[in-house]
Amino acid sequence: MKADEFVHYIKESPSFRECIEYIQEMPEKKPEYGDIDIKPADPLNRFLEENNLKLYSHQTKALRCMREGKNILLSTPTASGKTLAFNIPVFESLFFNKKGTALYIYPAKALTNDQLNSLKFLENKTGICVFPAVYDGDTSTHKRSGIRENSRIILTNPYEINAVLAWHHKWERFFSSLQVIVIDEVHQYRGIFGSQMAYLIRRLKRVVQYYGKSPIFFLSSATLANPLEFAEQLIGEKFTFIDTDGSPKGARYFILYNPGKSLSRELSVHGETVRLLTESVKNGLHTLCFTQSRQMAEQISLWSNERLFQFKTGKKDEIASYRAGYLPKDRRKLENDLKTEQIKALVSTNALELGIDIGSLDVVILSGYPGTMISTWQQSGRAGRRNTTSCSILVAFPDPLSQYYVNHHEVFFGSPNEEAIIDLTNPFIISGQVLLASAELPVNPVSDAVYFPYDLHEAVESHRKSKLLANTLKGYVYCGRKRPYELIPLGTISGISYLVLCHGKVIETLSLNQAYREAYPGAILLHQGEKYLSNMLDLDNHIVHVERTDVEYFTKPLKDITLDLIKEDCESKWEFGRLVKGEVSVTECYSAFKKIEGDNIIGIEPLSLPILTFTTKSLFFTLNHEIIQIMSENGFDIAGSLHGAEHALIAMMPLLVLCDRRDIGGLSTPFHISTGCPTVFIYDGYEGGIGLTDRAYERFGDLISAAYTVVKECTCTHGCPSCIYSPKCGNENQPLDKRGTIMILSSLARSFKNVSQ
Amino acid sequence: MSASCYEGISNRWSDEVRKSRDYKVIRNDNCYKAGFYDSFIFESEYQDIRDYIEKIKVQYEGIPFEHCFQGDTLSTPAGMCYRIQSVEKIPQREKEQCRIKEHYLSDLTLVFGIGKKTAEVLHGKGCRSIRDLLRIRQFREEAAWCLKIIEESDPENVNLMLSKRHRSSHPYALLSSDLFTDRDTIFLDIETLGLFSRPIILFGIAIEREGSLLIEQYLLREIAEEPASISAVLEFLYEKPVLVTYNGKSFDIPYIKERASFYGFNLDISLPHYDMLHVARSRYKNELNNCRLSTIEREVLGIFREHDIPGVLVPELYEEFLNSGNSGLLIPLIEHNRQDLISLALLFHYIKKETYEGR
Repeated sequence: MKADEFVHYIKESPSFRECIEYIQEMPEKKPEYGDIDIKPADPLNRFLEENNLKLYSHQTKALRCMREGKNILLSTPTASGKTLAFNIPVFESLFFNKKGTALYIYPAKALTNDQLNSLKFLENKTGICVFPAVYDGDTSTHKRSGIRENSRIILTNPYEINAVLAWHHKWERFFSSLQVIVIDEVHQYRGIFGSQMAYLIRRLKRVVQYYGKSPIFFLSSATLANPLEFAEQLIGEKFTFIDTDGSPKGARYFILYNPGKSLSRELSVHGETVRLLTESVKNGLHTLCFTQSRQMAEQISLWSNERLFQFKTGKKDEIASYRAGYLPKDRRKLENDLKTEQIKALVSTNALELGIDIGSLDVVILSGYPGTMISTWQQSGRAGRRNTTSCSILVAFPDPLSQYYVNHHEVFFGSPNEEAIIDLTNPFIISGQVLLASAELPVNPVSDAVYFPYDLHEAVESHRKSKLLANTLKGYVYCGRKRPYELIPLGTISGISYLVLCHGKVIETLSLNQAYREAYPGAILLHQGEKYLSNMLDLDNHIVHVERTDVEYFTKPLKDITLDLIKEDCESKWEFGRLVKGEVSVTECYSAFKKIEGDNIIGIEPLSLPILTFTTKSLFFTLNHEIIQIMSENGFDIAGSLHGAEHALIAMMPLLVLCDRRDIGGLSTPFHISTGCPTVFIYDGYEGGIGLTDRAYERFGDLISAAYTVVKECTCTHGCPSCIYSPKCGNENQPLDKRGTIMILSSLARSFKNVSQ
Repeated sequence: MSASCYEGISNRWSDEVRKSRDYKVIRNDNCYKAGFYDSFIFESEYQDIRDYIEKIKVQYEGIPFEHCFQGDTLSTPAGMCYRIQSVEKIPQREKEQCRIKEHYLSDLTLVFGIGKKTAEVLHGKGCRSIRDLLRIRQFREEAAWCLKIIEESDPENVNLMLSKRHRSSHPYALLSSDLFTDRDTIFLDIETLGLFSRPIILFGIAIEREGSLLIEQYLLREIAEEPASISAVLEFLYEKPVLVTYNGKSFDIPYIKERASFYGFNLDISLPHYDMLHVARSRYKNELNNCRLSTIEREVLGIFREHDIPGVLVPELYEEFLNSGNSGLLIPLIEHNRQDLISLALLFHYIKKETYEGR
């Protein structure tokens, strides 16, 4: 059976069709080649001709922009020849400039190794000597100076750059010939990490400028709603955007499958995943299934194998599971087994998104929405790489965001909605990055404002008062005792970052807020789909000790939040009150945590953690007397209505900005001392804020309309996980009033219809 | 956000810095525990030093810097810096060019193709000097080349030849310093706020002149004086002296280079550099527990320091000085650095003498 026949079969089958919300058909796409007059320099052209390769239109565009010295942002789908799109122009540039160098920055180590091989291959075939090398934490000390002295293309990651910038004099040769900086997968640099990355790039530019160079930036990104704005914020330069993909694609089907739609039966996502997977394998299709956790991956492969065995269609173990942390040897065996059809299907956590080559597949099943559209397309892009028809199936959970998407396929398949957000104004990030910069070159508060456009003066002045910086004739210089890049880790906001240690090995770093929220003693911490039990949260040394665990339950803290308004920055009116953006001080008190298995609470244990207070950015709206009166007349519970509105808004945040709902906090109260009114607050869950609620304020019209739609359309009467329940609620989802929630959301939606702030 | 917010953040960073220490105080002087730490200090030693420092602090309370340290203010294009000069007598020693040649000629392993074993065999056959190898066809060409270099005694070429055949820790490598007849020998030692990427707070330089060490120490009265002090030190290095340090190849010189380039100074010079740590390590590794300069000066040179501060305490003493303004805190620092320079010079001569005398 082929994929299109399979789609047809599912569509007609009585046991599947009732759950199908929508089938999108994406026709086959023919290649679009670039202008034949644009040829790369001889050795490269010869390489293309000898291998019978023709450049696609986006590849020649990239080449032309590079020749014109423009910064390039390339946004084309997976498997569109992105690697060649960078490498041809970079090689050409290094061919004409015999001493020129290029820096490639990747978010993860695994990716640098893949890229290294393709660079070596191209060097070999074209004879253009660039001595490509990876320079990162794994590079042995004795190789380092050789690479710095000889390599013309160096591949690295942000962590390494953060560490080497202070040693720039050793990089003089490389930096003083730097032509181009390639940054792959820039959409990954968002949130805290992205905001720090933005300053890391500025520090890199500052150091390279010191050696007299202003290199071109060549970025690649997944599809975003705000690609240019994001790239310009991240790098601080203007970009030329290339997003017309010239590569060919086979025809594809995308099925939105909603187990909750079935009226006749209670269906679960996992059960339906197993049914779809076995059906697909039974029909001889190569299948890949993505789950949200490792345990689910293992369960689903187990259940599917059993089910296949029951049907007596084939051997046992035709379906294997895959997770992060497999050794390269095991990876290769799986890749190979899948290619040679030893196994028919693979069930994986999203660890497989990157790095492993499993060739082309017929069917991809996404068991649950992966959280972002970027991951959705990356995972479904695993199916049908070139000229075969393929099929992707999204099996939707009953949560508001997934339900919104499956019920609004025009949004799901329409133009991108998600924005990548970074915040250059977070004072914690600015403060730390200024310290790092001051250990690289003296900081001049006037001329360095190019790199630090916000609050540089305030940051420098307060560091001087704390004797971390000293003023010299050359500028402000770092004079603390501890090495600044050890003081300020990337990826967390404040100096206080918690190392998560498993048997002495660091598996993750958490910010203070995250550590309280997710790593309190007894907590089950999820890391790359694996469960870890937190044994100890060492508040003095900022360490969390964890161990691997296979328990069935997960944990949820109970917390009390109080919030004080510090200042209001912007305000607008709506029909029944105000909508305000401002700064708040949040106090979170974690008193206990629950152990939950399935839907049952199996235990509650007390916590004794100090109270956590932090300043962040927030948006809030208030309700006036008028609406309160109407609501009371209708018998709505005010607190429950506000609470429901808070949950719905937070749930829909990931629709607009790339974030997880746990990045955002909320508080609703029938009376708040600072506003004197019933108020709903939504705040960034990180010290100083990371721009999420800032953007939500600007796009409040879109946010409220999505929240209103999802609650209104939900068929339940008193609220359910698909609309106003929140899995993160610190108050047990009590109280909630769905009718009141709809009333608040509908009048807000009316007020902000077609309004952008 | 507001300025007060930034002050809170800065204070948080500086608390973190204050809490962190680059060393561990070992309780009850338990030497078995010491092995777990890269740098440590025994509790009793730590107590002694703290007591001593408290005493000086009282003694020097309110006394201006310039009275504590007799010196002069230098004005450079990079600003002002403070120089403390002193002289120390040391035994006079002539540079011994002739004896060097004898030594080098007797070292058959300098010839390409001759290892320790072959040298022994050749020795047994009566070859006592590289000259003798001219008779052996197999080694004639290489031996002639070595002979020429040794006869000409151009120190750069000799060093190049030595570096090809011996480790830099070989005592013979040290002898070539005597060939630089027209250059000053300077001894250099710096004190810093940590391991790289932080200011150098004291630069110690000693020049040897006719049985005396002329010692110049550039001490930062505030961090702002670092660029000027660096530029003063660079003036010495631009004169192309012969450089002698203790661990300077991996610490002092790269550190100065890093700081120089941090401030935008050009430091594109290479100097003949003798790092005595390498020599001491290969010479004393079997005899001494460790090869710290203070250990060697005590065990080999018989110098006993009183109230010496361990290097690991330097950053916090200086920080305390910056915070309190009590210059007395820097006295142990200056003394420590000065003694290091003197011991370094004495050790340099001691090992050379030992090598000449063929021990």
